[in-house]
Amino acid sequence: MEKKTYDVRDAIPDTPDTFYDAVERSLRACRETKQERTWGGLRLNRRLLIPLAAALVLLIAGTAVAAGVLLRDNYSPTNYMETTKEQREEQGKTIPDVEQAIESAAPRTGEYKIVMLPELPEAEMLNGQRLSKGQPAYSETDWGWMRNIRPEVREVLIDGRSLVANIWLYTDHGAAFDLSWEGDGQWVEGMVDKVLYRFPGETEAHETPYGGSGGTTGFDETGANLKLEVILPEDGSFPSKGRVELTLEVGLRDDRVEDLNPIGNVGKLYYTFSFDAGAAREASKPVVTLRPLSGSIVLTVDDWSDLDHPRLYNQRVSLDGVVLREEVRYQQTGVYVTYTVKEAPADWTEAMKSSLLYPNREGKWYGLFVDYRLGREGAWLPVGHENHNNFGENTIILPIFPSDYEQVKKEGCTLRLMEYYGTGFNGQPIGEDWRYDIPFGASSMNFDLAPQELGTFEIPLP
Amino acid sequence: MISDNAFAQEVRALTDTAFAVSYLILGNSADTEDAMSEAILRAYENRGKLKKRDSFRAWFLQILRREAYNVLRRRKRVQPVEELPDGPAPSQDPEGRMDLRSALMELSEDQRTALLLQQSGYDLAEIGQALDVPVGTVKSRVSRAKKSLRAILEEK
Repeated sequence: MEKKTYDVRDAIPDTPDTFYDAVERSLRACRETKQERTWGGLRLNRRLLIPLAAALVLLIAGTAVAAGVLLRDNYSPTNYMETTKEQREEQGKTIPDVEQAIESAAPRTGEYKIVMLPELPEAEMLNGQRLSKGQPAYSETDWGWMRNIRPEVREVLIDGRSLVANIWLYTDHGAAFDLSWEGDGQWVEGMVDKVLYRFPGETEAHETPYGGSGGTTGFDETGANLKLEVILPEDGSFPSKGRVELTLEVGLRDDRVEDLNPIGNVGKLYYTFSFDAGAAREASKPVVTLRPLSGSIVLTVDDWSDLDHPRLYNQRVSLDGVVLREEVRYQQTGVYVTYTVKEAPADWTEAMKSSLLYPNREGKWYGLFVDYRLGREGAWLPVGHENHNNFGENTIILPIFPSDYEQVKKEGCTLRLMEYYGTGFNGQPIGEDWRYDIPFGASSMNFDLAPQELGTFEIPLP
Repeated sequence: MISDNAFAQEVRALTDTAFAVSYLILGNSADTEDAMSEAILRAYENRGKLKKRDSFRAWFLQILRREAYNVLRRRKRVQPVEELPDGPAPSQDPEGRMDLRSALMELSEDQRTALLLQQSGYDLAEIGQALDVPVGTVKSRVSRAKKSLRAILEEK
């Protein structure tokens, strides 16, 4: 006799409209509170491989590359701080200007304290979580070793808009912080849950507007590295000199319970350190240039202006009347170039403007892809990216430092802006009048793409 | 890191499954909205930890289940089956949806969720990730859930 099959889904009511509404409200809240500016974690790997051939061509052609302008794989301050100073020196990858900026920050350890689970207000909830995951309740025998963790800030790199720090957590249980753990034993990590900062002369602390993120990365027998990343306020409130104090609340997590949020905490580390805000010095005042565009291109537009009816479409547009605003900032940590749309014809919507500048970091999506070259005939190289992702803005970072300006000015540094658009969607060719209403339940979106050059612009140097 | 638009697309794509998973834990629609809202914000904050876009739905459901349990804990009690407000009256339920639902509630949550995801087209590795258990455990939960469900319903 054939066995009857019962489908669980038949027992569940249809998804109510209020649930869909809750989803849309939450997605809107994510965008509107600019949580896109918080860092999601550190175990990202956004490396863009430099084509070996391009690198060889550059070297063989004998283009004079200034000493500090290294062929960097997607340089950014964040990527630079992935390695310790010792590792950078060993690999011959130090950049003197950046090392000087790190040195100038002169971080110093302040107070710290460690509070373990039984002393936390949410102790009952946290123990409940442990039990629900089949883990034993907190015991001092198992976890008391964390009380002896000693934090020490080693390096801080600040570039005016963001800050990266490497903090060592001294402990003789360093191996427990092994990210590639498999098997028995404790498996832990430190995750930054909150960041507060205090300016010189103030008594009150501020919470960072976009949070802070970070966690433990490497380890050895002496402890583990905690990498911190903070996006700084852009309202002018962050000082340009004096010692700023940062206080971190670090969750010490049992990964067998949870690593993604504080319900996995077995303890908390509160750690204050200070650094010199003057280390984020500008090498020169920013330069703004207006770049009028011309010609016509096909633009792939990602339009979420009506959240009930999001859509994608291709449209051939004239670039006459479109003017990009290019702001170049000269920091000790690199040259930062930000593009926004300054002017556009009246029929250009906000969705079109932001789609034009949508950061296309590896040429694998539609939007604006930027690369650069030194000299007139060098190979085009990948740029680094800043992680603000401000809506309607595209900021790239060039590995050009104050020591390099004279040399690079002789050769010239050119940016190439390429606008990628969709020529195929989910395996089917699409044309210039393609339209796609994104339905609820849409899943994969795979594009075939083609580039269109918007222009090449020589970057001014001081 | 997954872009904002891709994040939104992925979340929308699994809205119905997310409702079902949280409903199996919480038993009513209002609480599922709370859990889902919290899960979206947690996932968004931590989207940088997602290593592969292919893993999104299992990763997200893992977060959602935790948030649903948080809601449950805040509520401090489980809704008794007979109080479940969302469903047809027995006289309007010729296909026996209420029987199936009450039978489901006799299974453990892990079994219910494993079976739901398996019947929704998730593969065993994804279910394992969503439930944070090995694939072998997923297989036994699904198999045990099916047998138990059949046994309960065929006794009624």
